[in-house]
Amino acid sequence: MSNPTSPTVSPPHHDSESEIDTQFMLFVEDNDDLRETFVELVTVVLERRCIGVGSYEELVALGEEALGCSVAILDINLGPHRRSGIDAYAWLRDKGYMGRIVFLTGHASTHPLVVEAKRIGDAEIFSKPIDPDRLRSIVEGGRQ
Amino acid sequence: MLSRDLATRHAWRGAFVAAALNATGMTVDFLLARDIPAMPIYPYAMSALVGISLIVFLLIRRQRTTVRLGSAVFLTNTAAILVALWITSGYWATSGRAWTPFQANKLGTLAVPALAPQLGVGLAAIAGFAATAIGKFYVLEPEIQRGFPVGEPWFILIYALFGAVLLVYRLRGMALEREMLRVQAEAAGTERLARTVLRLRDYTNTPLQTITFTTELLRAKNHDLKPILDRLERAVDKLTELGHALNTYENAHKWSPGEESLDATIMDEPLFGSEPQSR
Repeated sequence: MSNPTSPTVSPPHHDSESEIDTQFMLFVEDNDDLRETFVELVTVVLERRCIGVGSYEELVALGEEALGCSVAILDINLGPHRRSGIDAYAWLRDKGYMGRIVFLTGHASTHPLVVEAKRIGDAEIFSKPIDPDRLRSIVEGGRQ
Repeated sequence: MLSRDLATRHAWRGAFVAAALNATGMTVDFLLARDIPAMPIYPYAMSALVGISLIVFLLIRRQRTTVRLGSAVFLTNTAAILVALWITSGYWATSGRAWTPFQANKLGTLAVPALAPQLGVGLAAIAGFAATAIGKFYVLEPEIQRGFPVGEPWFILIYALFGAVLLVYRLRGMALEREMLRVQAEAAGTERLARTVLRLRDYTNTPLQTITFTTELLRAKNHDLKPILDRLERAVDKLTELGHALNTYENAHKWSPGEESLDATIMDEPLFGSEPQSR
């Protein structure tokens, strides 16, 4: 599991002040391997700054910083007996985050958490595994 | 399996109750008949002892019983009763006392439908009760026959008809009940399979996502790896297709409260045999 005090953060790849520095992606995923791979992929291949956190608590610990992301990708199930991606969604919206939120899930469409996520009108849901082109379109969509 | 178990238990219980009724009924009948001149004790004793013996036998074989065993016991018990009634009804008929002919036989034709383990056995028992009554009537002296109420001994056939109908009705109901249980058990099995399949599929989705992104990352970092990564990508595509093929199980599984946290339970079962880890 991830260390709650140190979210996975990719460094900016541009020296100058740019969109990359201010418009980053937020990825909430409890699986360390996937989270770290995702952050590296977005940073290296898609050339975007990305912050990865492993739990709802880590997201809350980011505070206002999290609200600056252009896209928030949330894993729906963040582990047994832990706050879910839906809780993370609610926190972001409660804090006034107006950007794009995408749910990512490995669960069946009939899973109660997925069903609950579907009821949220302004969030998209994608099933794992998504291909890199889909990820690219999500990133590009968030940029607009 | 479940329906077979149920049929076996019904057969055992029916035979047990029939034997108990034999032992009890013959004892009571003997007490009522003790004032009848020359009424022998041995038919009652024989039938009651057979009933008691069968009870003991059934208790011994309780864990290793079958429908066939229940039927055999039921028929043996019925045969003992019929022999006893054949003998004792002659003494009742010739006693000169007011006597309602073949009451025990009529009672038998109505008790069989409630207890018989199988249709053939039940019909044979009902036929036995009716046939012994009618047969006994015709071996009695004509003078005694004339003393019987009008319509006897043929009333027993009406009882036998009712008994047969009730027997078919009860066994048909039991068959439907067993079929319903079988279907329910089958549905529960399908539900369990669907849950396991879905959990397996869900469990692999996050690792597949990691492989997909890692492949893309390696592709960007090292172009020389392209042929290898293409193969890896095709393998992941196959696994993803497999996951999609299992979508049909989604509707077969009804989620129950508390089942949401699959990660918590999937490792509790001997499904993977590995150390728990994060999905």
